[in-house]
Amino acid sequence: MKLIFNKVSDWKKKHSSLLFYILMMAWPMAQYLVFYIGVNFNSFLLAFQSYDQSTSTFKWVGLENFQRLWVEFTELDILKTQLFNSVLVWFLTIFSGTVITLILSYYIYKKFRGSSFFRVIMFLPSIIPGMILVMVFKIFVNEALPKYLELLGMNVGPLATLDADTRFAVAVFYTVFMGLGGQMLVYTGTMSQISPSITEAAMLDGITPLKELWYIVIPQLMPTISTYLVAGLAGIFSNQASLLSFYSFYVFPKERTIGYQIFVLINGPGNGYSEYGYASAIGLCCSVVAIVLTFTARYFLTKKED
Amino acid sequence: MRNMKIIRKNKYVLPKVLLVFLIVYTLMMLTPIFWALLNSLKSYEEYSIMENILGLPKEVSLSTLFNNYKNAWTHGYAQAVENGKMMFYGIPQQFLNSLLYAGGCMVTSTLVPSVVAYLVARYDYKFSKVVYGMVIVAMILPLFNSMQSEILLTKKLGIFDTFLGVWLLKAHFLGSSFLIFYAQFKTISKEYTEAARIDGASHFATMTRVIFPLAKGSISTVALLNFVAFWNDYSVPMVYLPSHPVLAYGMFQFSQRSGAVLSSVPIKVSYMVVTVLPILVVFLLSHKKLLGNISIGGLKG
Repeated sequence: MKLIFNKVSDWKKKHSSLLFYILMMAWPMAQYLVFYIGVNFNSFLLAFQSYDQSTSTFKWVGLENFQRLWVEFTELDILKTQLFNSVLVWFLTIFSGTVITLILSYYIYKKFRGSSFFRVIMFLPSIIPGMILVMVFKIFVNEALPKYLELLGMNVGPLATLDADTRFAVAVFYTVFMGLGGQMLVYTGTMSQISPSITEAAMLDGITPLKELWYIVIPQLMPTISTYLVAGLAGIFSNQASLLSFYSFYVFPKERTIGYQIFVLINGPGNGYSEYGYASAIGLCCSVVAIVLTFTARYFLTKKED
Repeated sequence: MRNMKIIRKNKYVLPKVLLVFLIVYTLMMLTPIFWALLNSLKSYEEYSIMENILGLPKEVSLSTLFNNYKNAWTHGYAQAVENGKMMFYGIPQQFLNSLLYAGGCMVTSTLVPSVVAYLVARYDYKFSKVVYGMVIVAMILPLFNSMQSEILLTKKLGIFDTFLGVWLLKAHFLGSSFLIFYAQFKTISKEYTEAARIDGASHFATMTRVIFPLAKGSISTVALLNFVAFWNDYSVPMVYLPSHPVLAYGMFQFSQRSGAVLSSVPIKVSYMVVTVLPILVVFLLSHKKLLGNISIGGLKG
């Protein structure tokens, strides 16, 4: 008995790090298997199923959901427009979230005039609840802005958030504008890790801020920028462009992004489980497209890093 | 040297252009907020009937202010169907729900990635590389639309519409928090671990008493950022906690509501002030931490 105890004790001592490693990894791995692998696999299966109201169960329907998707894509323009909207929102948010934020982060990193104040201002949309900002923005755009424009002698049309021509544009502008400071914290944090000897040597050589940004800061930040570009591309079809916050579930089909469309199919009033299968089919097709785009982007970005 | 730097800073065009851009950005950001705050001081009559929309309040009286806030408090309820019955939740109950949702999710969504990042960064097992690969793949592998499947699963497990359910959903290591912690743990010298082990510390004690305190800056910043993000999030509670409306979901409902009282802009704005106060307090108490430095690594596996 003592021999066994000693052996176990020896094994424990020898493998204590492995034991600790396994114990600590147990929950995260279980969670990963159930809530990531299991959930995504089930989503894949759902794409080939439909909800039967009479039996309250999901039944296999083969490619029926994909056929509906094909018809809606080819014969109706709605899905094509939603696809276009998603790409437009992605392009604008990537441009503002990466290019502009990067340049503004450089301003803050270099501690130019008022940088501490602008740091707080840029971070403000991350602090104030999005719903409150949307409400303020909506009321301001509908009530105060027309009055200001009237004072300037400009012609004022119908309320911007009610007019079919401007509803989508207002939400997209808001999303892009508020997304400006999104990655500022990480960019300035990573910039602060650039060795001061590099920047000081460049300054002694008389480098301009623009050249410092282009030749020193951006190359040093390339891994971080690549991460955000690839992650941004991976989220191309999930962006809702604040449409839910602005207009709840009441958005015309042609004003929707794919991300919003899927959300409404799953959670829209009165939909129940009936659209789960179709939503999964859209999600699956979008995933295939986005996987190709993401891996292509990652290939080129990592090549550039090398 | 300092003077030289100042001269250099003032000499170039880029900082000046950026300064102008930032001033315009600040004005565009703050004007609607100040306009809204100003209008919370006006009465319904002054704003709607006298149409004093852009001007300063004619008179600031405590009774007007009190009436606006009282109406906002009364109409700031959230509706939810519970066991087939329509229930109404006031602002205090929504606040409590927000605290449970954001607080619990903050703990799980910070703890799990920090522990996994620690193991992956500091234990050279082959599996560590696999886990790192899992995170990178999850970040670059866009799988859309797992929500419906998640709803079905949580319903099956009996954790749908419970706080435990959302805490468990958020207790994962995938995402940028992992990369932030991983970058942090990689930079801490291995000598700390070796010294602790020589002094007889267990692996758990080394992690919790030696390494985590060294990384407390990053951990607390990520935790606070997570808390703020969960506090402000309404779509996840709307879907997964339908009968436990949080403050953000209450705001969503309030923004969609219409009626004689609620069409009054001063009351709407007063409601916004009431609901935004808790998170502003958090920000004021922790802005140094929140605006602390965090960095993130690349995607090379």
